Amino acid sequence: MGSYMIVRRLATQPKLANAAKRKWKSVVGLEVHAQIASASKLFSGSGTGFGAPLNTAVAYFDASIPGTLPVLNRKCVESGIKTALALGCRVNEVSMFDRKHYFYADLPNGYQITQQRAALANDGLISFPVITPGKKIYYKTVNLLQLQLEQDSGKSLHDEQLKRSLVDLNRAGLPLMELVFGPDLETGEEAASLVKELMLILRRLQTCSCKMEEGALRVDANISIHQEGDPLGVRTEVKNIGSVRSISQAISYEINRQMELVADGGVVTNETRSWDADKRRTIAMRDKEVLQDYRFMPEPNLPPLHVNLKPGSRSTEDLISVAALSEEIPELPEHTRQRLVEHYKLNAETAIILVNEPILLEHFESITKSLPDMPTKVVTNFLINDLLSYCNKLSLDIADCAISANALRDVLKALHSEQINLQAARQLIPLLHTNSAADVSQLITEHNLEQISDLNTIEAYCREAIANQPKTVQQYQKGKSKAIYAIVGEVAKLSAQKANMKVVVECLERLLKK
Amino acid sequence: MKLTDFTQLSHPTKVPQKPVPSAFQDTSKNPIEIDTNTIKLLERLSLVDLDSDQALATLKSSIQFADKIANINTDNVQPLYTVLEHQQLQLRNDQVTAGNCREDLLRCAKRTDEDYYVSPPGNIPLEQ
Repeated sequence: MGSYMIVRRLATQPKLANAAKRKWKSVVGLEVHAQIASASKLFSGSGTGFGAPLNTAVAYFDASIPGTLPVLNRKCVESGIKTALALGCRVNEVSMFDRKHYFYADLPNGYQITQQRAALANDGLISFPVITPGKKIYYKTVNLLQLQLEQDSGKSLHDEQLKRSLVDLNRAGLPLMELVFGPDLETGEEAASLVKELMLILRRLQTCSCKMEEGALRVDANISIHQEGDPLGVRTEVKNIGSVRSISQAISYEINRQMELVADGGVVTNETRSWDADKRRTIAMRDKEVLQDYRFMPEPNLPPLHVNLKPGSRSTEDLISVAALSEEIPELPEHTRQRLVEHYKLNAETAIILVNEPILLEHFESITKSLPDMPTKVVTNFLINDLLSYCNKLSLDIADCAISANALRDVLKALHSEQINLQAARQLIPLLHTNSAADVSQLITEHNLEQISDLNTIEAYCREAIANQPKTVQQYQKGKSKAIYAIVGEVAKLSAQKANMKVVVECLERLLKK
Repeated sequence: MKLTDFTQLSHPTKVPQKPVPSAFQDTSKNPIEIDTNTIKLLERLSLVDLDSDQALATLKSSIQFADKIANINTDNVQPLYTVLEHQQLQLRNDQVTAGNCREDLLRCAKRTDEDYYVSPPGNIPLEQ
């Protein structure tokens, strides 16, 4: 575990010799703000379009014009309930709205409408695979303490030179689900894996686009360290984490910073820190130096929100049925993994990789559907070991890879029918990536990738290889059967990687027995 | 100038016209101590200047008056947040019905720049 490794590494430094007598533990809890995918805002009829011209997606209510009142968006409640159900929450029959007061220029009302006393849902659970490069995948389970609906604030641009802020209210009043997770995590990787799983679930439910780059999903991390057996330490909150990769980096950095601070005799103070992705460090923020008093109060303009919890009930115009919504929950990522393992006999790790890259899963399902005779192992190997690795090498998100499922199917079809070999299939990936409209069979002819299966041609290559490698041939004939692969390699080289290896092995065995 | 005679009501009212004796404990003599930090916080939150003796006296007597509620027994009483507690909250279909009124809204602001509202600097990282 990361925290343990940090302690071990630090423990070798003399100044830490005393502090490290008992094991130090890191504790991480996440708060996730997910923007609910909707056409209009949470309480107003303004549109939600990302990238709308400045201050145009703003209704009078969002600008806090006197006389306006909030009217709750039904779809946002439904999306919140669906998400809660997918995460195993208890949906509350009655939930309430509260005002949380801040004084920011991008919050025109001076308060945010949120749910503090009685949230939409509580007590959920999420289990997810933790993927750390170079380590065995394991599962972790984290409590979801609360899921609440709330408004987003506007956006401020800070103009340092003129010492002023520029405010755009397009985001003000957008619907958010805040998910408060228990302090059940230990490392940055676990936190990143939790968010990754949450994103898969929200995308399946279509309740959030999860585009972190657009701010549609934002993660705040509460981080503390303590010695084993002691109560939890003072926590810091890291905000402004803008990508899944940053989550593990920011948290690992902050755990390290606290460990080093304590080792130097310092004390962790309760503060908000901001993640600087360029400099890869967290920085203290000016705000919240003193504990804020949010002066929570019930929102007088919104009576309590009631939902129907009766089994078998149906939704009516002003009462949403939770039972009816539960029927709309699609297959969730963990079920898909189990299905892949049971139905296609994939191993657990392969199933996890496929499900974690939705586009790979889509490719896999469409390819196995159109090529039912194809062994699934060939498909998953090609998708994961070749296509995914190719994208990783280019630091390209697989979702941005232009190769279509049809093209991949054609490549695998050609591979399966022995028209091309694996080497050629691999060569087709970059060709298809740069020219996604290209026809696979045309590319094979154009780049002369066709596999050589003709017995006479292969025999000629084999004889040449045998002549080139007299020592290896001797070794093989003395009983070192693995030596044949060196000769096979020679044939591959002579044929420009195009010889059909199955035929080559058969041919070599035949020739060398003589 | 003729003063309005409040004893002559033109509409019936549910507000008692004479003081009603209540079971509330008299808290008007409770000693009230407010430290300077709290006063500063209240001044900042309310934008009311509490510098003068009179303002401070008014504040203290307000606190004394409100102190009554601290002595009321509310065991096993669920708080009432709204008289509309048993009403169902009205829901709205997810349709765009408002917005696109930038000119109207920006006109209300004292300072704007290229379609932005302009405000004093807000929360920014310390080292920027």
